[in-house]
Amino acid sequence: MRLTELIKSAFSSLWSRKIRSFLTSLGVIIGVFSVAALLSVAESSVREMNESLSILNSEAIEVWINDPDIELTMDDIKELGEDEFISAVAPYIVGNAEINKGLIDLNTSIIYTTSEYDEAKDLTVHNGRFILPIDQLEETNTVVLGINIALKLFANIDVLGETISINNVDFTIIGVLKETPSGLFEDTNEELIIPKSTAERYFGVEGINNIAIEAANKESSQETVEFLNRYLYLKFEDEESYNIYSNDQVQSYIDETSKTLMFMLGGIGGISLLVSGVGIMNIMLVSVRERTREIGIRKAIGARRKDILIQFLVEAIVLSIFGGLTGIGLTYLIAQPVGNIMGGLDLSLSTTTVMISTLFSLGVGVVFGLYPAVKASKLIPVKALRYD
Amino acid sequence: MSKLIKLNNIHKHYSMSNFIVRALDGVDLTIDEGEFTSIIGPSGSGKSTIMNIIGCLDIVSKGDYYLCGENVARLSDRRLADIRNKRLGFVFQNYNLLNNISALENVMLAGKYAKMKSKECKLLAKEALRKVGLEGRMFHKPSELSGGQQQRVAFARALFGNPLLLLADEPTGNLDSKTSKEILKMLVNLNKQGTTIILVTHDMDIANVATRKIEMLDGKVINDIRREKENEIN
Ligand SMILES: Nc1ncnc2c1ncn2[C@@H]1O[C@H](COP(=O)(O)OP(=O)(O)OP(=O)(O)O)[C@@H](O)[C@H]1O
Ligand SMILES: [Mg+2]
Repeated sequence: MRLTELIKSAFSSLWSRKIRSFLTSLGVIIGVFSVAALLSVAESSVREMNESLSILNSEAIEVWINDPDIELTMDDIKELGEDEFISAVAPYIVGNAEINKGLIDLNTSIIYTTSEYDEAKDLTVHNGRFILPIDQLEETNTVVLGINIALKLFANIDVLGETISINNVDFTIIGVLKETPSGLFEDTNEELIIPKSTAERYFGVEGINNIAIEAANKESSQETVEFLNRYLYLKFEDEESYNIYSNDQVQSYIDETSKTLMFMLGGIGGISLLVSGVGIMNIMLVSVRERTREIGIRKAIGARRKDILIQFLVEAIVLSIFGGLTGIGLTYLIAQPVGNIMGGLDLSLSTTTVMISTLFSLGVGVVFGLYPAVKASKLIPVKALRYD
Repeated sequence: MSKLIKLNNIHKHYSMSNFIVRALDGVDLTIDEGEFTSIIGPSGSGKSTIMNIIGCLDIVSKGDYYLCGENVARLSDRRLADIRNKRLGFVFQNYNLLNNISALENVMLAGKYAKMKSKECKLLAKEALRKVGLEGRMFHKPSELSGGQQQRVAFARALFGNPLLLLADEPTGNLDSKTSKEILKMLVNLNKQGTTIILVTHDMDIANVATRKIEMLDGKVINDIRREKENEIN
C-alpha cells in the first residue's frame, strides 16, 4: 500500500478510538513537555552564564596567593613581564576605602596597582587617563574612578581634576573608567584605583598577593598558565599556596557544567518520555490483539508483512508525534509566562529544544511501536482470521 | 486445460496437549483452470482447512502444494501476498469485512494493496459493487447492511481485479434461499466467463450446481465426481 494511504488509514483508525488515542498521547505530551520545559530552563541558565562570561576577554589570567605568609615582589613582576607569552602584567592589592566628597560618604573597594593594570584587565578610560609609570614613581595622589563611583559622588562623569578624600587623604581624579561588564569576582565599575606606591606611603600597604596578567594572545593563554605554574611552584614549592585563574579555564568549566545540567534536566524529562513510550507499546499491543481478525482479513486480501508492519508503526508514530507537537505547543504557551513570573528567566524555546523533543518523541514512537508492529506483521493469516 | 492447483499428499495436523488432530490426512487433488468445484462433507471433515491451504492462508504440515506450477512452500511472503492480492479471491462464511470502513472502501482495499491509483481503484470498486447490485449502498458500513448485502460486498471485494481463482467457504450459509440463488447465479456466470471456482457447502442442491463434486470425510477425499455440464439452478 502507498505510504499516504497507510498514514490516512492510521489516522482514521486512531480517530475511531479517539479517547484511547488521546490518553496514550497524553503520556507523550507530558513527557515532551517536561523535556522541553526542563531543557529550556537549562538552556536559559547556560545562556545567562555565558553572556556574563563571553564579554570577558579570554586572554586575561589572574594569580592569587592564598598563603598570607608568602608574597610576590616587584622583581617577580618584572621577570614575568619579560616573558614572551605575557603582554602585560600588573600586581594589585584589594583594599577597603572610606571616601568622602562634600556630604557624601562611601565605603568601597580600592585597588592598589601599577600602570599596566588597565591593559592586563582590559580596561579603558572614558575620559582623562590611567595611572602612568610616573605616578608610581613619584607616589602621586591620583585616583581613577569606576564609573558608578563617579556617578554616586558627582552624579556626573565630568569630574577630572576634582579632589576627593580617601581614608582622610586627598586625591585628585585623573580619569574615569568606561563601563565594564562585571566579572565573576569583582565589579570594576564600583572600584577606585590608585598607584600602589602611593598606597604604601599613606596606608602602609605592603606585599603583593594578586597579579593580573594578559597573555600575548588567546592561543598562548594555556601555555602562559603552564609557565606561571612552573614559575610559582619553583618559587614557593607548594601548589596549594596559589591559584591561577584564566577565563579559558572558567569557560571550559562552565561549558562542562552546562553540559551536565542539560543532560540531567533533559534526562529527568526523558524518563517521563520513556514511561510514555511504554504506554504506547502497551496500547499498540492491545490494539494488535483486538484487531487480529482485521490483520487476517488484510492479509487475505493481499497485504504484505511490510504493509501491516508499517500500518501499526505509523499509528504508533502518529500517536507519539501528535503528543510531541502538542507537548511543544504547551511548553510554548506555558514556559514563557512562567519564566517571566520566575524573575525574567527567558524560557523561549530554541530550535534545538524543539528538534530534540520532536526527534525524541519520534524515536519513542518507532522504538516502542516496533515490537507490536512486528508482532502484527508476523501473524499467520488463517490464525488471525480464526481469532475472536 | 492446464493444471491450476495440484495437491500432493497434503497433511495438516494440529498437536493438542495429548492427541493430534488430523484436519487433513493425505489429500491428493488437481484442479484445472475453468473448473467449478464444490466441496461437501460433514462438519469437521477438513473443508475449510483445505480451502485455506489452497488460498495460501495456511501452511501444510506435510506434502506439496503447486499453484500454477509453483511450489507454494518456496514462495516469499511478498510473492504470496501478491498472489492473494491478484490471483485469488476469498469469500468467507462470516463475510470478514472491515467494520470501521464503508462497503466501497472495503472493496477498494484490494486495489490499494496492489498500489493502484486511488481514482482508478475507486472506479473499479464502484463497478464491482454495481455488478453485485449494491451501487445504492456503497457508503454504508458493514454494520448498516443486511447479511446478504454484506456477503455481496465480500464477493465484490473478492472479484476486484478479476482473480483467476475464487474460493468461497459456505458463502450462502447465513442467507435465505432466494439470496442464495442469486449468489449462485452470479457464480455460474462468473465461471462461464472463465473464473475457476471452488465452493464449500453443506447444501446438496448447491453442490450439484457445480461441474465437479468433491466429498470429504475425516480429512480425506472420499468421492470425486465430474459432470459435463452445469446443472440448472431451480
Ligand atoms: N487451529 C486449530 N487447532 C486445532 N484443531 C483445529 C484447528 N483448526 C481446525 N481444527 C480441526 O480441524 C478439523 C477440520 O476443521 P475444518 O474447519 O477444516 O472443518 P470443516 O470441514 O470446515 O467444518 P465446518 O463444516 O464445520 O466448517 C476439525 O476437527 C477442527 O477441529
Ligand atoms: Mg468450515
